[in-house]
Amino acid sequence: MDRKLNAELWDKMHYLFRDFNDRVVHAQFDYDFVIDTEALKTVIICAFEKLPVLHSSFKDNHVSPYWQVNRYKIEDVLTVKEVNDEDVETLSEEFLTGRIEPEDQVQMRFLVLIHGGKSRLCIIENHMCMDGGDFKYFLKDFCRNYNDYSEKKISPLSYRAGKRAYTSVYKDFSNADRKAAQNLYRNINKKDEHAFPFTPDSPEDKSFIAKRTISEDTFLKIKTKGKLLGATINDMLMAAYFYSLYEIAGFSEDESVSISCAIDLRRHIKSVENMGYTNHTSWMQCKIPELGRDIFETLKYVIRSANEFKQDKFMGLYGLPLLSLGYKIMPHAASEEIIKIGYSNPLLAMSNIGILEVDKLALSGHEPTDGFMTGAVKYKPFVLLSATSVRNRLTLSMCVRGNEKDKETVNDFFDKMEKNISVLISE
Amino acid sequence: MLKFNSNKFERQMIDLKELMNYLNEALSSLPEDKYLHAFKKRLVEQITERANEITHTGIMDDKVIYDIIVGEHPDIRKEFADFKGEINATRERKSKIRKTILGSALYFAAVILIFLIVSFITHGWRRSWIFLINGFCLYFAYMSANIATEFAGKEKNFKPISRILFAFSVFTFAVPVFLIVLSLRAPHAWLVFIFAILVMFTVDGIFVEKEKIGFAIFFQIGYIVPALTMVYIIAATLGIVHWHPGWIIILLSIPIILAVILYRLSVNKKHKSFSEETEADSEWTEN
Repeated sequence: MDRKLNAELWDKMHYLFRDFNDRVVHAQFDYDFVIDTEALKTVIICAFEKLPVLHSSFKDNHVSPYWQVNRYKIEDVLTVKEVNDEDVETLSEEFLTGRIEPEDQVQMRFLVLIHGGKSRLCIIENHMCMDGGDFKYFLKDFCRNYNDYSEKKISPLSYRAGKRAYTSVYKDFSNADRKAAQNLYRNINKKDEHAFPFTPDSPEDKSFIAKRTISEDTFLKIKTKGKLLGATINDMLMAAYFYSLYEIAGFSEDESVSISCAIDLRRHIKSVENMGYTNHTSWMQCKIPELGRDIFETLKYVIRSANEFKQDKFMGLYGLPLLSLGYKIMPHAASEEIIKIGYSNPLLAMSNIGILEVDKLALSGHEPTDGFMTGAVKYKPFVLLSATSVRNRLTLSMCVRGNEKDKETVNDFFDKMEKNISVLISE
Repeated sequence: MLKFNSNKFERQMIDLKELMNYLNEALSSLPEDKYLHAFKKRLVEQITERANEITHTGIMDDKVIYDIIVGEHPDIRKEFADFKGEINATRERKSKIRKTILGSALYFAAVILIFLIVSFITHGWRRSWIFLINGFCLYFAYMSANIATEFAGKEKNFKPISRILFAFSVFTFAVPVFLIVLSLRAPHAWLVFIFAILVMFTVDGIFVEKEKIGFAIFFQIGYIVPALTMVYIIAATLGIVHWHPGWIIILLSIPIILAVILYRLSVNKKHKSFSEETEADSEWTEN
């Protein structure tokens, strides 16, 4: 029987982002035991059965696109390999930089690498299905289901399978506020031409994930010093991002630069319990008027800019009604072309995915020893810095399609980030 | 009473006895009739297909398969009630279509018969064709208004079709009126069509308001100038006003448009002040 699912606004928007990134969200966790792969198979199948979008192909119908639900086998989703310790990094990088096309039979894939009594679990999924925020919820639900099944033989079917519509962000507003939010047609994010200093785009470019781990000690100091300075972790990272960027890109100190920061629109929703996993992310454009005399002044500019956004109760909701209108009044092919003209994807961005709670990501009582999550592989000149923390260790990552020189640039950027963070947290 | 038989699932190599028991138990107290029989047959087919689909993925745990399928059919009695309702609705729809076809056939037969009888008796063939055309036009006007009303009650995508059908209905109704006026040799029969345009704008203006069509205000404002132009043409042709300076009627659209805009703004302002009043009590929470 042919089953079709509605393509939601964000599904279509992320499909449109195909010109900017590969739309694949990545996660990796290390466990100090061997995962029961037979139980894992059942848990994965149950997740897919509860969330049919994960085994669907996106049909780019010119009038109205939709998801076509497909038949699949566990082999299409899960790969299990027993490998030597030295092969783990190469194989996981190879898997994580792989692509999931919207036309593929499945939209999420798992890799388990078993090595020396340990396991590495790598997961990739199409951003059209869910964003980093819901991917985190999904992973926690997934681990809970694995534990329930492997320990208590409870069928692993406990997932949120509700509506995926973008309109859920309005559901908890009062009637008057909802009406006001649904009339926020203007786009408040301005185009900024400042870009990361990558080499020009080339067909030989390959996807890579560059990452840097910040120690527990440094991360705790970021928190403590941030509190003293009236800044959040996000503000501290953003200030270091700005300062490092000016240094490696050679921007003039008096230039005004902006970096877009992903904001989770679930802040407007009281409870996500009855909602499906989906995308609810928008951008907050953090702008500094100049670099500032030192990184502390940069931080002040960042805090000021972020606070302006935070004071707005409709934070992140601007432009959504316009997008919705665009998709409603025109056939999909036409609306894509029109939206492309009006939409400018940020060249510089950051996504603070936040804490990956090890107790909720534990499998059979074993908490992950390490891990990270990161956004899609961006195509030059676009760049996204992702930040996640596990066991109070912060992982900064950038997924780029580039060459060795670009990899060097990103690593140089991470060096500068570390240096600038150490200045920020200095006594 | 028809019982589900787990042998149907033999080719899946899994035991679905428990699932069959669940279905039988859920439906046990219902009287065995043709509805229940058809429902059970359909449900067994659906579940067989679903079980095959799930098994195909590679899952081997019967309990999990049971839980997946039961989870997808949490309330079998409600499914049965929906199934019954669906059958009745389909039956009613079919009966309505049959009645419409029969009624239409009888109507056309009566119109043609009356046309022929009147024409043969009076030998007024030169004018009697008007009766035939009017009969057809009235039928199409009635049918399109009927379908438009039905579409108006459906989802958003059907509203534009509904509006087109209402406009079509107005114009189709104008044709017999025009022909009657013309056959009575009344002057300015063409005014019927000008009046029809006026009616069409009015009907659509009311429709967009009543059905809360997006940007209704733009349609309404857009209709005011052409509608008053039609009023001017009718009034001037019938000698109610002079052509000059009767055209001032068209200028009346400016204050009317302004009044409509001001009314809208005042309504929006009311919403805004409501928002300000309730903001303190609203349930807004910043995470």
